[in-house]
Amino acid sequence: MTKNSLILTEEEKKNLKDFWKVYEGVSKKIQEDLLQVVQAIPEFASILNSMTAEQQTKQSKRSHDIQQQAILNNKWDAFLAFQYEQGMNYAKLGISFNAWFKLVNAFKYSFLKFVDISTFEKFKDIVSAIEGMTQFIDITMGIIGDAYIETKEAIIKEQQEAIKELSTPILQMREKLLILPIIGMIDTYRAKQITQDLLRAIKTIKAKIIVMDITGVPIVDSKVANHLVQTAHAVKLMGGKVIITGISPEIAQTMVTIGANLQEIITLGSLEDGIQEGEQILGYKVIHIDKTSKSLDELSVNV
Amino acid sequence: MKIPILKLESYLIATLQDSINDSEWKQFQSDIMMQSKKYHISGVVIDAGVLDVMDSFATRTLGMIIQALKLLGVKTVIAGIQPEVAFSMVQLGIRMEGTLIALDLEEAIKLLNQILKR
Repeated sequence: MTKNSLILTEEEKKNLKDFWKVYEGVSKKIQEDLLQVVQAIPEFASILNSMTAEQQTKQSKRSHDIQQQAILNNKWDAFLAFQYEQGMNYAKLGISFNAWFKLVNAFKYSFLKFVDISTFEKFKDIVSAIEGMTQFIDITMGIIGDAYIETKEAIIKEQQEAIKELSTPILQMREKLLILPIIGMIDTYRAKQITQDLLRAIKTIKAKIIVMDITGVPIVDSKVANHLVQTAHAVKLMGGKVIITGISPEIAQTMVTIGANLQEIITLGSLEDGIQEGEQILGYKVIHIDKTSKSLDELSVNV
Repeated sequence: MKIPILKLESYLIATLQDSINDSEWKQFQSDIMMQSKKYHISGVVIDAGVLDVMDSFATRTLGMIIQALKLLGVKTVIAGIQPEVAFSMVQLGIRMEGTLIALDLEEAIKLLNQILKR
């Protein structure tokens, strides 16, 4: 990821360099200190323990080199990419943002603890070094936060896609008879998707009756009711007819209260009734075969 | 371009073309009325399968044609509205209430036969 770029003022650059000068001297001690903190945070500890000592040194050496390049030579690209990658990993591993803040805080305290104030000539230099540290942490946190959120968002989007595909199957029950069980909340986006899929299915299957079962829809408000009406009208424009089933007593009452206009739509209590009604419209008749009857031939005579 | 009108027994079949202008609509209206009268037509199928938009003007004009045909005792069925067109019509709030609609030409003829008891 190189889309992140960084522009610093001369003063900021100087602060960062001042910070680095101090940090170089105490970095070993800080590392040791931090190691303890990390062990105390379970989320990080498990990652750390999964790495060999060699890997750990290698990782921290790499991190150190990249930081040095960034601060001393003002070459931030590698640093930003590195931190972005870190942020992505944290998001994927499910490390909370909070844990990361704890670590950063520990770094701050550790830094202030080990810095020998007597080595500074002027008070201004101390301020400069601390400003540099804050700057450094802000940059790091900014980029990690970005990566973290973007990665999480990508995961959410992926899951939404998966849910979308799972959620609205269109089943063919008989020639010209479709069943559309809707499960879960209906929002504008999903209603659109359902309607479009359904209309296409009507065209390809040449369906005439669609039984839409809303048993699995938890809440029906005026918006959802409106979506259902719209879908039914769209189906009508394609020469089909919608039968809505699975309306619970509660939902029936809300629909009446909000004054949903369902007059042109056939509504029935259960999916079974809906299928029966659809079959009747299409001219099917389902007959229950009594197994105690002697033979099928005899039955067909009765029919 | 003139909208073609075919005669099949006592039915007329008109296939709407893409991007019909106002004068073509007028021409179509008078054509279909004249032919209905002339051939003693009992049913008309208007096939909208080619259209990729059906705006409020087209719907209103079609509505007027259907009303006028009704005065002559002719039943009209709209057939073949595409899924995308149906969807955008609903979004625009176009309902076509009280209009006979069928999935395709075949279904439309079946529907007319059923209504006219043939």
